Amino acid sequence: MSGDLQAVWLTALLAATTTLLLVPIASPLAWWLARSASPFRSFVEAVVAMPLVLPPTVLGFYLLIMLNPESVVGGLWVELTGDSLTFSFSGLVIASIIYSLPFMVQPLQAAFRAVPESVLEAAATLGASPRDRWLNVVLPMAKRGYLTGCVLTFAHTVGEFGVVLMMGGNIPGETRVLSIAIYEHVETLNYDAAHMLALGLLCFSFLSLWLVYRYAGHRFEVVRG
Amino acid sequence: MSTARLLHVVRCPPVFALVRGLILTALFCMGCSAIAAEARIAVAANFRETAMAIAAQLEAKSPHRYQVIVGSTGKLASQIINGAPFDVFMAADRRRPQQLVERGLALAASEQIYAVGELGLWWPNGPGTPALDALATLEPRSVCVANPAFAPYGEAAWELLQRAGLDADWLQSIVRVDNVNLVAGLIAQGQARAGFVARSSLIAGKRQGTVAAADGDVLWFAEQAPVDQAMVLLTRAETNVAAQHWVQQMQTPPIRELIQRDGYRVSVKQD
Repeated sequence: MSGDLQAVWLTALLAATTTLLLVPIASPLAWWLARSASPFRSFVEAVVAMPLVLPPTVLGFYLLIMLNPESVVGGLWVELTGDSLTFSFSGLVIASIIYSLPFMVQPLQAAFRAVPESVLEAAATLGASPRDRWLNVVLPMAKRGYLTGCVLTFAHTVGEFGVVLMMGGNIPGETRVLSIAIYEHVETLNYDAAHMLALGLLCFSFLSLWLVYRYAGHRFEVVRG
Repeated sequence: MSTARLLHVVRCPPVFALVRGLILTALFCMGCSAIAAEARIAVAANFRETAMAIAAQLEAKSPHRYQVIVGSTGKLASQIINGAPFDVFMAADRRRPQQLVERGLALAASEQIYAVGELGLWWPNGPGTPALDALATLEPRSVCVANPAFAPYGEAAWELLQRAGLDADWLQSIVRVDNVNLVAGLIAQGQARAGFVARSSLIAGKRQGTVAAADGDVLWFAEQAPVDQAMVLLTRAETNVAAQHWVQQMQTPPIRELIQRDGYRVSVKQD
């Protein structure tokens, strides 16, 4: 059981780290996507949305190739830290950021798009600096978008399986997240333990979605994945 | 707080790796008599329960800590090739450990056969004693085997099936699953009618109360298809005392007894 508690803790840690890192990464990206008239916008939008339709095994396979110790990125990481990026917690964080990117970007983009240009102009005429406008006008108006984005990112990362299976291995305390722990319990005929974790995840998923529908209304756009 | 408890507390999350390092260093500097180390043991799925028991025994008698990581032999080998941080590899065949030695990822001198597994055809509620050629009377979808592409027990089963001269189309449609433990589970639940199991999976399943196989329902292939399970010390763990200890202990009587208890034969030569 202590192994399962460790998996719960590790999963929460992975999901929290991913969510925290995605907020600063996704915010400027979503803002640009919501406001830009650039011809590249649809291109970037498509790239960001890819993890929604791509099989996780494809993502996992490319990450395995890109991050393994003989590759450029993976080799550099080994030189800097002495550890391999594949089959490590750091590697999983990188994978989760890519895998959950649309779940943060899309709700934020919808929230930013709903901020009327006129309100921002009014704030500007009243002497608000761009920073001021962002912190005191945009942010409060996009609060629900952030809530939706954070809950969905967290929940989606908790539910990650294919990517971890491909490039995470099954290392306790490092990459053995909940979904992998369930898989191993089933593989080793330990159905009681599998039931307990599976039921826990089922309740958690329902609660997160309920939270989103209850408090963020029906304004969020991500439904697939 | 005792050393053991302190180690246990700081063992888990990776963010605490640094803290753990500092504490271990501190303990070391304080002049702890024994040098404790940790090792990750990558283990073929069928050997899981036994490896856990071995880890418990070695942990009780030494200051070292062991983590057992389970997978099919082929998958674990490919993970090691892709940089997985394992220290010892306990495969269910001889080929994968040799491949790792050839690639310089494992030490040739450490290579040894630690167990010989037994493959069996489990066919509950069948027409009497299970027989290979009678299998063709079953729907191929109800016959289950570990995937021969990466699971050694599946490979051994596949060779038997081919030698038995079963119809090629029938053979192609049987169910292939991730590892040999799953086969026993699927049959126990009634999702498959028959399949190729390891003696060790049945013993482990019986202990857990999830699998109950009557003796007459299993046809064993001890002589036709012995499964030699080899292990190696990985090159990255050359200086890891915990990993070395694990490898050295494998041929000692108490450990060999554990391995035999779980349904394996051990090689005759004793050192």
